[in-house]
Amino acid sequence: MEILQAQEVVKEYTLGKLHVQALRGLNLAIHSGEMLCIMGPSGSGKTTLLNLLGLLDAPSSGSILLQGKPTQNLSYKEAARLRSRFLGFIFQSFNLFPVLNAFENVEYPLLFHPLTRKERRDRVWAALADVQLREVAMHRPDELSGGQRQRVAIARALVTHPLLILADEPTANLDSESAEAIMAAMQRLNQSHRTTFVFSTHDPRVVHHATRIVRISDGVIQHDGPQATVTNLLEKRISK
Amino acid sequence: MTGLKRLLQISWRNVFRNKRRSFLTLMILVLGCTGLILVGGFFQNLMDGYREQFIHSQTGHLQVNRAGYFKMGASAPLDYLMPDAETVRRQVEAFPGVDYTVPRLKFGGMASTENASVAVLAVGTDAAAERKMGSAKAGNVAHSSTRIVAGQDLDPSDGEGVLLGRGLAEALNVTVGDRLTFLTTRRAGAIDGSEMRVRGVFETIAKDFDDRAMKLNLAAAQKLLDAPDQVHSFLVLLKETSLTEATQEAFRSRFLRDKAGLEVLSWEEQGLFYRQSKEMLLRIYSVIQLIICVIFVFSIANTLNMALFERIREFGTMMAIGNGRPTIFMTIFLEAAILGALGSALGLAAGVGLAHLISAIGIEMPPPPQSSSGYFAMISLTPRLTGDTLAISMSACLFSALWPAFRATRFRIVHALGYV
Ligand SMILES: Nc1ncnc2c1ncn2[C@@H]1O[C@H](COP(=O)(O)OP(=O)(O)OP(=O)(O)O)[C@@H](O)[C@H]1O
Ligand SMILES: [Mg+2]
Repeated sequence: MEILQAQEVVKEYTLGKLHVQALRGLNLAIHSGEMLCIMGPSGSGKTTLLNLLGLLDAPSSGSILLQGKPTQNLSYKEAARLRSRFLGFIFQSFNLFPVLNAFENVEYPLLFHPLTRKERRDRVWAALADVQLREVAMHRPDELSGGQRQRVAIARALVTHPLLILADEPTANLDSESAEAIMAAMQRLNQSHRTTFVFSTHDPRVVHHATRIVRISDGVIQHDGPQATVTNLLEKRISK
Repeated sequence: MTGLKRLLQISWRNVFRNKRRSFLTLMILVLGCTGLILVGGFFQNLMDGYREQFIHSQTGHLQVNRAGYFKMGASAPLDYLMPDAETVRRQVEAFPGVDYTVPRLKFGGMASTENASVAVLAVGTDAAAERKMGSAKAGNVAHSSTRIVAGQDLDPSDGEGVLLGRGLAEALNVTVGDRLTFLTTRRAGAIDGSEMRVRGVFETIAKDFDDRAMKLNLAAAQKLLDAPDQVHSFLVLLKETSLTEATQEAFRSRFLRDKAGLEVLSWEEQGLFYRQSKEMLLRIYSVIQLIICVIFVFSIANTLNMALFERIREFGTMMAIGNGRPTIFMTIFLEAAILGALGSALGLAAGVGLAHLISAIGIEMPPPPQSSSGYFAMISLTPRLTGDTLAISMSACLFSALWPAFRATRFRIVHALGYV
């Protein structure tokens, strides 16, 4: 089932007199249960695309459909409500609230959902368990390693049971070991809970965790296919 | 509700995130509030002092006259004589809250010696009551309405002895023991003369009064005017100045009910001098309040703006997670409210504590007008003063939060998230 779609999406940035087309009529459909990796060189439009898919910004033309429903002309409030209900976010630099401990950070998005205290706590503990962080629940972010922080961020994105989780370069600020652990955690969630992930990356080493790979360049999709084909292609190229 | 509680918690923790900055901001609030309390309390004490001095030297708390006397009495004093003065006095003194009364019989005349004749305002009074009123001590300020600068005070047993105001004595060129002739008009239009002897010379706060006033025993004045058991006014001294309004109302309704044909005025209605002094102090205080308020607004706004830019990415994250603009607004606003509440509470506590300390020691003051000795001023705390101070610091904090909080809601999410 298609949960999120981009149709003929154009995003143009204006810097003074300069117009930059970051996306140029891009089409993409995201299906439930996918682990979708967006790859592409720097400046190709990955962040721009994820911002549009996450309803954080509006396209210059074209449309984003959430569960088949168009999302243009949403008010700030309506977009915020949709994000809160359907989307989770993981950021490159974690973006945890420094004054809250891990538990409170994960709990934060639920405060604005109609849940009892008990339901909320159960969900937070479950999310922390999913990323194997129960034992550091009472630590503040500055007492955690980068990898642990990003796992808290994953739990925070997960805890509202969103339709899908968007992650823009979730491993870019991590060493390769932590990066691998983060991707493994996401993949585990994808396989066990069928959580849908869309993530972007520069790093070919994490690609193998994806089920599908979309390669963009200059604001359009160059290649879109299951992970295996890409790895095969890479392997072929290497063997040549 | 959970959301708001957690926001409050987040704001609380954010206040203590940059300890040095919050400490400085709190210090400004504390110093400002303390200053407002101390200056306000000192001014209050001065005003209370002025007030009591005025009441005890001039008007009493209330003044009971024949209706119309206050407006018209000066031109036709004989038309406003109050008959049955003794009955009125007993009635007035029976009111709850009334301490005692001082009778007044005022009329014009001409005092002459061999060399000079001067127009005189004669004031018939009860020497003992007058003394009691004049020597009242209010708070820690002693008030002497009348200072005897030569000779002695009036004595009811000395029927022809009178006191002259200092200016009048100089104009007539007389000293204690000298004799003078006093002429006045009686009711029927007859002019009557009487021999007087200067028993003493007095001085009050009002020089123009001293330039023309002559005080004599009430009985002597009544005899002169052929007005037995009649006076113009009773000055009413209450047990507490705060009873003035209520007692005035009680008098009014009683006089109305009894069709007594009497009016009752409060010291405030007569107190131009007091009103002007008070007005001036209040003006000065308003300017001080304004200055401190401006300092509050700028320092809080500065603190919040710095916090705002340090945390742009957090606001971006909150927005991405789906927080509405009111939530974003509230995090900044609550932070200001917490700073304001902490600063005000500490400032009020410090102000009140210092006020008590200073009052215990006392502020040495020079002698007030027509008083020969200095006194110790204190810091008078009133609920109004603490309330106003709290209101100023809280509203300054909340007001200065409006713009930064509004700005936080206007960040574009993608910019806020990308902000480093
Ligand atoms: N706010 C902006 N204003 C102007 N131009 C922008 C803005 N954001 C992105 N761009 C431009 O849009 C194009 C796509 O940028 P985008 O950030 O989406 O690329 P990216 O694939 O995420 O790159 P990277 O791998 O470096 O993160 C780039 O040319 C970039 O310069
Ligand atoms: Mg990017």
